[in-house]
Amino acid sequence: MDEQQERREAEAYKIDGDLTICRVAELRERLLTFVVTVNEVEVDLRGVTDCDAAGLQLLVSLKRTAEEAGKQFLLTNLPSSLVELIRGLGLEAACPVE
Amino acid sequence: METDIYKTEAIEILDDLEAALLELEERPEDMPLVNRIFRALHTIKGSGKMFGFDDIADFTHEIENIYDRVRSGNLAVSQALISLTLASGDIIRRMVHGEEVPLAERQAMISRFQGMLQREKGLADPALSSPQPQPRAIAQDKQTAIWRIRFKPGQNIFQTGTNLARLFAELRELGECTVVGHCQEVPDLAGLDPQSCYLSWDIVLTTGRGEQAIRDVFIFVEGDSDIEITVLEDADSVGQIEQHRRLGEILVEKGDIAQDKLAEILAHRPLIGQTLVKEKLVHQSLVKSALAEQQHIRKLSEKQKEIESSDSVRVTANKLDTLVNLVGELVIVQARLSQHSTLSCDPIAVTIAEEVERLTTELRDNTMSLRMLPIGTTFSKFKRLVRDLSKELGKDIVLEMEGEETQLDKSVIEQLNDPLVHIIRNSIDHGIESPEARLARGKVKTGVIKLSAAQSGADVVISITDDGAGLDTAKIRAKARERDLIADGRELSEEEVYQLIFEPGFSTAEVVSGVSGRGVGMDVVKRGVEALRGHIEIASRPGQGTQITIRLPLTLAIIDGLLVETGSEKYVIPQAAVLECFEQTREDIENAHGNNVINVWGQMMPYICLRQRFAIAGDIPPSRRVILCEANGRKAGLAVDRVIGNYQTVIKPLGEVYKKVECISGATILGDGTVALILDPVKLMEERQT
Amino acid sequence: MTVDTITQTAHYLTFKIDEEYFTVNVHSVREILEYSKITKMPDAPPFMRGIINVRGSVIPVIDLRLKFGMEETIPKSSTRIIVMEIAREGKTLVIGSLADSVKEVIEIAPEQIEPPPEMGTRWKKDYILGVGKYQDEFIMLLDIKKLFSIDELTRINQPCTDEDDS
Repeated sequence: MDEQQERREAEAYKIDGDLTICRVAELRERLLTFVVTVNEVEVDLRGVTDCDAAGLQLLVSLKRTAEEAGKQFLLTNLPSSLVELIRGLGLEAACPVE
Repeated sequence: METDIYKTEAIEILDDLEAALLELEERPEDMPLVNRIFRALHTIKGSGKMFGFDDIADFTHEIENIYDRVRSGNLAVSQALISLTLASGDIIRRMVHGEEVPLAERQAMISRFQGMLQREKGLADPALSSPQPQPRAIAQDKQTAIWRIRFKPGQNIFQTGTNLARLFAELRELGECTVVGHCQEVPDLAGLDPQSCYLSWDIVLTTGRGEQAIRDVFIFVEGDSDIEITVLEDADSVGQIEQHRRLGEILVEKGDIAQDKLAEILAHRPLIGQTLVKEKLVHQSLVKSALAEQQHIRKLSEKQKEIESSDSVRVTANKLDTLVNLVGELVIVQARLSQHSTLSCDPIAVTIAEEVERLTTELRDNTMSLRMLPIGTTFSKFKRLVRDLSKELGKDIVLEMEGEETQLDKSVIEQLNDPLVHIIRNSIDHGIESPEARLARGKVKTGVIKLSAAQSGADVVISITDDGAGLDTAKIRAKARERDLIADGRELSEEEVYQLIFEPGFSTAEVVSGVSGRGVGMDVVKRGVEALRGHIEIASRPGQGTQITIRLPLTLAIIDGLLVETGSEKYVIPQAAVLECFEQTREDIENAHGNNVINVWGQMMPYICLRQRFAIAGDIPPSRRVILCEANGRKAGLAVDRVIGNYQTVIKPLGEVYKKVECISGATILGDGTVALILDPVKLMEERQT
Repeated sequence: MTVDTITQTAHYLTFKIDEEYFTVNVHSVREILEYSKITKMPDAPPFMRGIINVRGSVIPVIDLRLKFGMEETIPKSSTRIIVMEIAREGKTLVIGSLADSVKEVIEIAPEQIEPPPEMGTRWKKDYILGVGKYQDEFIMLLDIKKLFSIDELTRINQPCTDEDDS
């Protein structure tokens, strides 16, 4: 169990800084490679400082990509501002908050 | 169901409104007509309000106001007024059918009325003119209302720097608000253009601030986005949402919860609203707003139930059909009873059988009459068609009608609509010439299309006559040659040439106009009429016009026929086709030297020998009967062994297995329980000719 | 449908045509009627004998003897009309079939049914689902879906001579 927990931690993709329209193109490229290299798609959002609708849409797209590949999808350590944005845009169903 | 009743009634009133308007156009001074129009509008408004169709009520109210002015003599009836009212009637009709007519369209219509008023009176009318009509002029409701907003931003909304979170926050300031984002359109990473927006939203907002306040929130994104704002009490929404919709269904319809998720929850259900919230599938307030929607609909349906109990009863066509079928069975059983009682020689049994026969006949006639409607309801629809089409084509045409009171089976009338529309369109488009051409030919400028109906025996005859150019036989011949419809070197009579227009894919229109000539030809009309066990004939005179005659049986369920026998088989010949009956002896047959002809009052008439045609074994009796039939303009005899007598019978369909047997149109069950076939004389004569 | 699709023990109605035993699943049988006069239908293949009245409805009747290339059925006191229902594309086709006599309803287990023999049967193999045993007699399980397909039944003016490869 512990071992599994560790592996998951190790495999989580960390997004730091802005998750906004200015960076979505760059993040998309990186997530594309990330998603094919792991069995479980986990994104650690602890370091996100700013986020907008374009950023959330990127996460939605990532979730879809993971699900289509039959992989688990998980968002972790969401800052409260991000949770607020998800609620504000009514995207709770698409961005599972854990 | 209740909404259906409202709809049916509203449509009937709209039909009457249209008929009244067209009459008013002819007699603009007719005050009772104006009153009829006013009443129609008033009823549509009133019942619209009562059933919760506020949009219809509000819109109709505006038109009603105008007719109030006509009624009080403040406004004269004009062409423009009637055209606008007809167009408004169309809008109301669309709304009644559940279509969402954009607010802008409705407002535009009202503005046109205002414009007309200004022109007519030379000044703005205080009651109607608000210089810049507010969008709320119609759907105005300052009371708290629940709005449903569908918001699909333009693709580039992210790049414009719009802060969507702030936009939704502004909406929340207007009142209790639930925002649901839809992500179905968002592609996977590989297909994603990360700077384009694929998201859309559904927002349920409870506010008393009115539509404009909501629109103001969207003011900066309006240009590129699709924004749809509807009041949930709105007539159209109610039209779409059926009665007693379950909460879950409302949520699914709005896309708030996926269908499969819902099914999963329903599997172990306490109260769905609670479960959905508990499972975090739907936001609490969303369930609340869906609940509000549900409750509202419930209230509406209660209102409607109150209205239902009026003095006439509406019955579904299904129930009526069952009744007709049962009466049909009864007619058969009664025939058996009569036959047996006569054989029994028991006077009491005979009396009872006669009594049953009388009652059955009465019951049958009454039942059939339930399905009968005057054909005029359909006819008046064509007034509008002629009016609009002739205007469009720059022709001057009046439609005359005759025999509107003639009754026909409801289903026949319904199925007759399309063929008639097609024939009339043809008359307007190809038949009647332009006013100039008519004048040049020495005709009056105005063309006439005459629609008439009359009952003739067990048939109803409907004819459509125009005083146009008539069929151009040369053109038809040429076209038919081009399409290989005539065998080379074969000369056709005028009659035969006319028949060619019933061939599939035949259309002589030189220019494909929007009106006809789009490949849907008279063959479709012919098939439509034949499906009703009817027949169609055409007659035409160059330069004088064309007449198309449709003969239809009064009802599809019962037929008057002549029961005949050949060998041991019994057949029914529809009475409508029977002209006369002749005796034919063996000698007569020998004298004809193998030709199937019979001397009828000195004229040689061809006949079809049923024994030959149906390969019935046995010898021809020393004396047999030839029944002279006329159908579709053709005359021929049918030779049978003997005639049993007149027979009124219930038609039974043959079913799929025998659908290809063309010369038999159905079957009927005789008094002794055996089956007799109903002949189709037209088909029998047609195959003899080919 | 083949014999493999029969996986459950079921009840079958057995009847005789000429000297052969046939059978159909009782689920397809609506009722069994005494012979009554059949109204001949023109322009139909001869094995489509015509129509009869069953309590106010008109149903077609097929003569399996003719269909299988034998002599036409001559009605005897044992002759019956088996009224069958065949579900097809949401509709139910009701059709009567002449039988020289109707025997009884028996239970047949799937393992008692063999695929139709390739050779040595007079009947067109296509219409036989499988062969079972009944009191030391072979019984043919009819494939009524095929036998009563609309294409087979509605051919106009085509005598079934091409079927008569007995």
